[in-house]
Amino acid sequence: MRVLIAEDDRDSQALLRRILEKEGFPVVAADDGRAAWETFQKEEFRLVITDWQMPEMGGVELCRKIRAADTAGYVYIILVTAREAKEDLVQAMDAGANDYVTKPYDRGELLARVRSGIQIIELEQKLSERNLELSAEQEKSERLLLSIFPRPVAERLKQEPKVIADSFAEASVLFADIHDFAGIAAQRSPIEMIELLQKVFSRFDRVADQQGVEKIKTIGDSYMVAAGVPEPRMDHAEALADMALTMQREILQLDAGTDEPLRLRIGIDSGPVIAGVIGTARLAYDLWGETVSTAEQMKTYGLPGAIQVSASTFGRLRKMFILEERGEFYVQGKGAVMTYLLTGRRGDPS
Amino acid sequence: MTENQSPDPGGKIIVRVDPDLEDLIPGFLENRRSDIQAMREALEQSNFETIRTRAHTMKGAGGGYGFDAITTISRGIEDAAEQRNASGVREGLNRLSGYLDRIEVVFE
Repeated sequence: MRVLIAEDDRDSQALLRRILEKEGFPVVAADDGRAAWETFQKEEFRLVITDWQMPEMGGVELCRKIRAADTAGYVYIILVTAREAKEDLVQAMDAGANDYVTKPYDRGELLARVRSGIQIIELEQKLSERNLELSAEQEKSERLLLSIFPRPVAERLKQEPKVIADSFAEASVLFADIHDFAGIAAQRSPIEMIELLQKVFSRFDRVADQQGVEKIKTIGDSYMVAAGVPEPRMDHAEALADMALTMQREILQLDAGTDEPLRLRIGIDSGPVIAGVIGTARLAYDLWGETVSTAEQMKTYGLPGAIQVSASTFGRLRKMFILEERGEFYVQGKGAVMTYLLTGRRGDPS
Repeated sequence: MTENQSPDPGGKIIVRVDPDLEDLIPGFLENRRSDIQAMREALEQSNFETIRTRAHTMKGAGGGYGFDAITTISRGIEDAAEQRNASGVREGLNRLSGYLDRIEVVFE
């Protein structure tokens, strides 16, 4: 390990250099604190031995400068002081010195202190390597957590792992599935089918991310996404309308290896939902409530290639989007409701 | 002062020094003679601060090279200079000069 020494007396400097070099330590010597500081800034040193009183810059100031510097690793500083000047030591330690030796040098003592310093440098080195590994691991689990939960939900789960069930008065839910999925599946191996779903859902995930809406889950060939949770937003219905239109465009561009492009059925409903994380194993962020089941029925009884929305979603979209009445439709638990087909955004060239 | 400096019947003082330092010793002793010269001149001008500083530095170096007496004598000079005690400084310089004349360095 290279040692930087700062010592203005030539005889003491030569002696220090000789003692260290005989022990196999390469030495760089500076004639005062300022010269040492300049050398320190140019080259990397982990061990510095500095005299207390020097012209230009003393040992205490050198200590302070090194401690304030942004160094690659921990720098161990041994301060050299006159044998009777014990009161200087407090000041030296406060300035950031780790240890001291007294002059005249006692070779054995000096080398023992250098060895103990090197031990500390090596321990510190190991510690910072471990810390680096640890934060890399933390980052990995953080990424994993964020791939499962929305960020605000992940933060809350980290703070206090208990049931999360939040009521939202206003949110929208979208379900989509692939028309005639069973028919397509019949002509392919299960692996091919999974690969196709992976391709389709990855695209949707990317779109959801771009639109700032919350992908909730997939069930078989069905894809569920929500807006207005976990962070409320006024334009939740508009956000899912844009999401749905983009999904329909994307699916037409996707080469599924079929004669005809895949066709999606999409359904949207808007209203109150409960969102949260329940249970103790295989945790997932999920949504509950009538809005969820209505959205699913909008999808299930929709048309291939179309986006069917409920009356409550229609009310929120009519100003900005193009919708046509589909007719009355019987919804479980609600009775007859009017449904609409969303075909585009007003003012869009298409 | 310690076992490595023993007066011998002929007035010589044998100083045992680490062979690792052999090549440094002539220069080290030469610097002490310059110190004595410089401090004598400073004394003529009652420049006690220069004497104190020089003595302080010698004090720090002497023992490390194996010359414990230089450290001891220098401490006396430093103290005398601090008190602006000219005769104390002169006495210390004479002791140092006499010591340097009598030493014989053995590397072992």
